[in-house]
Amino acid sequence: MGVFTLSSCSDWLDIVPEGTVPTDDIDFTDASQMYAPVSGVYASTRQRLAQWESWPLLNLRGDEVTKGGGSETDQGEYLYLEEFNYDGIKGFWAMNSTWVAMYNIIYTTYNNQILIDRFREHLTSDDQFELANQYEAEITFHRALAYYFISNMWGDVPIIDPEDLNYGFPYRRSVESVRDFIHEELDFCIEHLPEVQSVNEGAVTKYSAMALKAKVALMEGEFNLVNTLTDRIIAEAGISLYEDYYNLFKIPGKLAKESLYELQFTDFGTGDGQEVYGGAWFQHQGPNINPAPITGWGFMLMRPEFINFMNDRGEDVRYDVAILESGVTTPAGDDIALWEPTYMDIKAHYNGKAYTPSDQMTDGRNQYGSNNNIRILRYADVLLMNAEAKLRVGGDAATPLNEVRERAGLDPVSSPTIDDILDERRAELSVEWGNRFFDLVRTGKAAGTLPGFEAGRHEYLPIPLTQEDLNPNLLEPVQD
Amino acid sequence: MIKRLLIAFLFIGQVALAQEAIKITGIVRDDQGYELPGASVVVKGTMNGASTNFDGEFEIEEVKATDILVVSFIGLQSQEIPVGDKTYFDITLSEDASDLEEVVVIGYGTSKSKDLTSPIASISAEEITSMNTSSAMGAVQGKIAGVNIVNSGVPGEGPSVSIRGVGSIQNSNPLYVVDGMFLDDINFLNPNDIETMSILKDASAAAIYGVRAANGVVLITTKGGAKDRKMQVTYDGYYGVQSVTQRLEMANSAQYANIMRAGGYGDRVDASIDRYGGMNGTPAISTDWYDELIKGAAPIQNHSLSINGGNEKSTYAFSVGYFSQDGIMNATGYYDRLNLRGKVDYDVSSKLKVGFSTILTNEKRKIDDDEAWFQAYVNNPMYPVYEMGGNPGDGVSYPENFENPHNLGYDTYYTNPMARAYYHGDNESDITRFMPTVYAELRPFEGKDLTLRSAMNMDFRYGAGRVYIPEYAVGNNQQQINSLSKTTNWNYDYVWDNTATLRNSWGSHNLTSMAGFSVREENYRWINGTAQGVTNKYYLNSGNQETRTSNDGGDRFRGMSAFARFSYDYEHKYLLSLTMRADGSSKYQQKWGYFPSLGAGWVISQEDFAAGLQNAKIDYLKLRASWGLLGNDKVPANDGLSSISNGGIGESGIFGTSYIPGMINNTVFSDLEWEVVDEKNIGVEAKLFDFRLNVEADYYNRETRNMVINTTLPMGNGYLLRNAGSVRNSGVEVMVNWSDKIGKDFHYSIGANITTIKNEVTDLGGEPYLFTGSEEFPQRSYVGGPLYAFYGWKTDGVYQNQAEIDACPIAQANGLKPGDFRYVDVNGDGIIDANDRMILGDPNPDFTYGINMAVGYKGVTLAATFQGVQGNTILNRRRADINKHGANNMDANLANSIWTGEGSTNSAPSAEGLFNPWNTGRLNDFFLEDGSYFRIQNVRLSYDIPKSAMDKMGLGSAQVYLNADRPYTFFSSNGFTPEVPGGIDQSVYPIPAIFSVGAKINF
Repeated sequence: MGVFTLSSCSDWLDIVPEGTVPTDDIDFTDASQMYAPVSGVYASTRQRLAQWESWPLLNLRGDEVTKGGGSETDQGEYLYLEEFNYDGIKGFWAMNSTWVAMYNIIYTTYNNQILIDRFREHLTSDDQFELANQYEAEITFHRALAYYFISNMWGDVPIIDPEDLNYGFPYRRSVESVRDFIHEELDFCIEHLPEVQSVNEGAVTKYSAMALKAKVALMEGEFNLVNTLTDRIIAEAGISLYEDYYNLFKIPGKLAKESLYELQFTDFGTGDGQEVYGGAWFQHQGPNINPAPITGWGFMLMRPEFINFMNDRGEDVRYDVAILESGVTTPAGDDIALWEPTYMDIKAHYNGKAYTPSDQMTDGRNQYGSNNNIRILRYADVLLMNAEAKLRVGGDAATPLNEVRERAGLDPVSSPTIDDILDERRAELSVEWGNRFFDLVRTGKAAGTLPGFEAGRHEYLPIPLTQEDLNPNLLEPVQD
Repeated sequence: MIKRLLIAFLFIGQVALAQEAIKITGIVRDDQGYELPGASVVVKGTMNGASTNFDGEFEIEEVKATDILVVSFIGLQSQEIPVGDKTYFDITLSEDASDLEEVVVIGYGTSKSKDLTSPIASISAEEITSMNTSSAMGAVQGKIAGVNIVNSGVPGEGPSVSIRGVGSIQNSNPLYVVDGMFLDDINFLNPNDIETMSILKDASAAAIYGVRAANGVVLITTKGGAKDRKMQVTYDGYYGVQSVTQRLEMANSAQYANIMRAGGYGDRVDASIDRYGGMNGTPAISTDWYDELIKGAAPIQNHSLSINGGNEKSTYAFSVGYFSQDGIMNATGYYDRLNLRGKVDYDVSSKLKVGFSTILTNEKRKIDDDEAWFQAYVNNPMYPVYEMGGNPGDGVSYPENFENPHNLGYDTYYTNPMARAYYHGDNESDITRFMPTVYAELRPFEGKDLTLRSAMNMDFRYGAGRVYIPEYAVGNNQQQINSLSKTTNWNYDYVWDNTATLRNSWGSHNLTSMAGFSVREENYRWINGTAQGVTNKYYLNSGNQETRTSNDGGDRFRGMSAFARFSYDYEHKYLLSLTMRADGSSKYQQKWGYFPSLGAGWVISQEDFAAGLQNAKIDYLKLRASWGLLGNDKVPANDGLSSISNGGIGESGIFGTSYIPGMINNTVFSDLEWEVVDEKNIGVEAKLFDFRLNVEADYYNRETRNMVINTTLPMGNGYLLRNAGSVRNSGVEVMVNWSDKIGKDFHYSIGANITTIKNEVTDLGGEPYLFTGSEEFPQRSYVGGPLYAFYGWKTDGVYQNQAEIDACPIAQANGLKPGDFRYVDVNGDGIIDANDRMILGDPNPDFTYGINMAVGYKGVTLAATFQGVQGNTILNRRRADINKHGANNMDANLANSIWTGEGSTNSAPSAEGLFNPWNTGRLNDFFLEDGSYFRIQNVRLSYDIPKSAMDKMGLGSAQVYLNADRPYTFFSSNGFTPEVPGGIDQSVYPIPAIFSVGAKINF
């Protein structure tokens, strides 16, 4: 009797707090729900990678943009970053926040993979199992993407142990180990991802994974691998450059045939109601002192040397895309008010790749960049990687290079040099996910090109102070 | 044996009969001369007696000349009067100066003050209404040692309360028990409805509430009637104005412009001069946004009307209360509260008593937009409230022509504070609350003092909120389409208590035993809908179909408890109390917790050998000691399992123009053990000089174990509630009160209390330190140090000239200029880095204190209360924001204190230096300020209208008063108020003083 009463009391207390859905309550026998964890990873990646503070962290160290904003002192630590004063940014909130965002993606991928495994337990047919593998591969791709950025930025970083997701204090691993790990992850993706995503527009494919793997290999200087992978994409993927270059980064260019992966946003085609918006990622790059909707913080300003570089090359087509000049009217018809920052010798030139013309926006939406996507991987990069690999390992570098040049309205080059290709990458891939800085680092040109950069000291950012405070194991020697 | 007794009894009866029995009559009054209905007059040692009637009169038959009458009334000193040959008695009972007989409410019962073994502060209705605050707790500030109260300036919002220091980071508010119902706050309650409030400070007293008691317990009994009392009608009310007597001054345009130029924002200053005029580089416009945003005076009023009384079988009390307070923001905010209350007790028979009480409260409020206060703090003063006309860009704003900061180059982080208040003020909330209680009390056996009681207490709340934002534009801050959000929420909580209480006495032994069983449940659900483009701002269905969204959620909790208490005394000299509670909670993975307590007391002054004490003017002396364990389940309900967030757009991937409902799995979950408070208390109580001097002193040692703290996980893996370790709060509480009369007409009193608090982390489960606070402003707790200490760099003056820079390698390495901070190189390695950080202070006060005094002559009384806190450190989070938002305005003190050249100051950087992350981009002691303060809490001048005058008017009694609440505070921190929760000052709104006039009238 007593035992009965006690156990029934405990039952009465054993309730789930309302507002929480226990993982166990998901109907794992319903395979039609199996995509939900994948969709969740896309959502999480979209939010984390669009955090604005990561963007200057990725891009300012190159020679394309400098920190702008209301004053030279506005978020002044970014200037330390540009000057490679890494002691000055050790405690910088934006660096910690970027670290947290990137690792958060990794945790989410593992957490949601657990759900896929739960669905797997109830699957029966081989088709279903293959689908589960594909879904797992889509999730895995995002983890590889996060590790790609983390390893490029910080070098020796921890690899998260999926068996210890709750409260772990991991040690750092060498950047080589981390990249080996990314390759393994991407090999799984390449094996299981479809060649085309016919249903879910813009979801990752086999070729997205190959492109990312090629980028990792490029950082490692594994040009044979870059060559093989990019050759396969060019031959098999059936994609090509998008002709309307002016609109590539605008609304018509969303999910263009050139796209291999982008963070997707939408206003659902309506002028009111909910929207999924890139927010401050667009706004911090928008023009200062300009009426809505073409307005922002003017935080990313093109450097004079980049503007000169573009002019010297006679870049008309790409200039208009890469650079949004203040004091002029854009080809799309928006007046951009003249702004002459006191701390710069030239008037403001904003990053044109964040610009969405007002006449492309849905009536009723008035936020800068509303309804636009953020491009991450695209075919032009694949062609340029291919060209570089050919040049390094032997082969026809001119054809892929000239395909990119032709679209930009430039004359073909018959026998390109490495510098030609790096310049082409600078012009084509400006202010895209730190490509320029990573190119300079991997080619050893950073020290000669970037004032203040010391080889062997400045390739990688310091581990954020807060993270060392939270996990003292990060101060321990790197493990292989 | 029985036979012998019977014979003896009969014999005594015979003797009694031998004397002549008479009938006596009389009247009982209080020392003001008022008749006392319901006073008890009993022949000593017998059951023979009577209660006085409505007119204070009594009549007793069968009294003998040798008898002694015992006359008593609650709160007054009992008297024993020999009958003698008198047949008519005019008896005056004076106030009980000793309060030893005072009945104190303890958990699930009552006790006499003299029998307590633990420190329980009892607060009377009079003290609670001695200040004009919306919440009763506001009036306790500074009066009770060990009880720390932090006020809020928001209409209708109550203060936050903490008892005996900081335990875990979770909600520090105590448990409120109102007539048996468990509540988180009592802000909804009309202070006039409170009869008594008992604050159970130590574990021994609070342990009977086990799991909910870790933060202390406040027991509240609402006013009831009294048997055989004529109907009493009481009006109590006041009308006052709130006025901001102290606020933070902001830099004006000249000061701001100067600093902005140094920070590289000179183009904005020039833009203001271009647009609005100015000379010598100083803008002509200098808007004081707080001046614009603060009303000169905002009314506050309270009116309460109550009736109570009773006959021989029943008692009743009913009241109506109305409280209203306007916000001090120059907008539409207000708080209105209507209370209805009834309480009826009825003796069905000599064995059964039943009762019902209910509180019905309606709270209506319009909530002023906090963002407007924030904008007033950060906005530059260089532009006017409204467009001046004729400037480029004028006319963009609609429907009102508010000016905007964007013309000057500011981004949309900044908006016109007045416009913000105007467009975001349509935020209403309406909460209706119904709190019924039903109980039955059975005394099943005649001649045996056993009481069985079962009480069901419920609390229903229904809230409806509505936020409407119209379409508007203020420069680039635009709401292109109006939006409406409506939320309803629903709470249903109950506590069902069952207790049995048995009082035994044998010889000089007294034992009260109580055992009980209690069940409780809390349910909360909410549902929210939004729509845009509504044609009617009250209805979602008038909005655009495709814009409508809905959402819901909730919370649920269950608890189950069994408890017992034994209170024993021998001749009220040796006191012992023992309690035990077993608590089950659905919030923890470890379901059951057990909470015992023990208390002992020794009334030395009762001892025969202590007769000498009397000569030493010591009337009463008690030593007591107690120990107890308390639980804390004021932690968020915990799942202890992986959970899913799903369905929302935030968890769903976008593919083209549609989304696929997604889910995100959260495998980080807590597995919690009970947070337990282990407290020891040793105290002494003494009453001296004919009870005129009261002294109470306690030493407490309170250790919170397994503290449940929300910790930041490494590697960006989110946050996790963990049992993080132990912290000890210990200290001494002393209360001293002296009150006396000189002659018949002059009386005075003075009292003081002080509480010392030593906060020390005792265990962190082997981890080197506990990391809390934000990433940029970390707080660290080390074993042996205080909880939540600020951790950063210590400044060592300012580089005054270039020579000092040239001489310092650190300055060289970091490109510093004169006017930048020098830091202490803690490890002496010649560089300033993360290893040079240290503990810079902590937010826990060293001691808190209060002083109260009163002087009265005839009916005129002047009373004042003062209160203070000493030794805590505040992080000025607003100033620290300059690193992230350099164009923010700043407080005038900062603008005035900056380094302006060699020798100007050694404690603040130059204007230019304010924008150098070296100085402001890190947690250093420049942002830490002394949080000590001393406040004039309350001053009241009251006048009791003489009885003779009242009689002429046909009224009972009346008092009128002038009252000032919080008229002035002395403090040095650069904020609106030194009272900031957690020691982190982000507050941007002023707290008003209240000046009022009021009256209390009995009919």
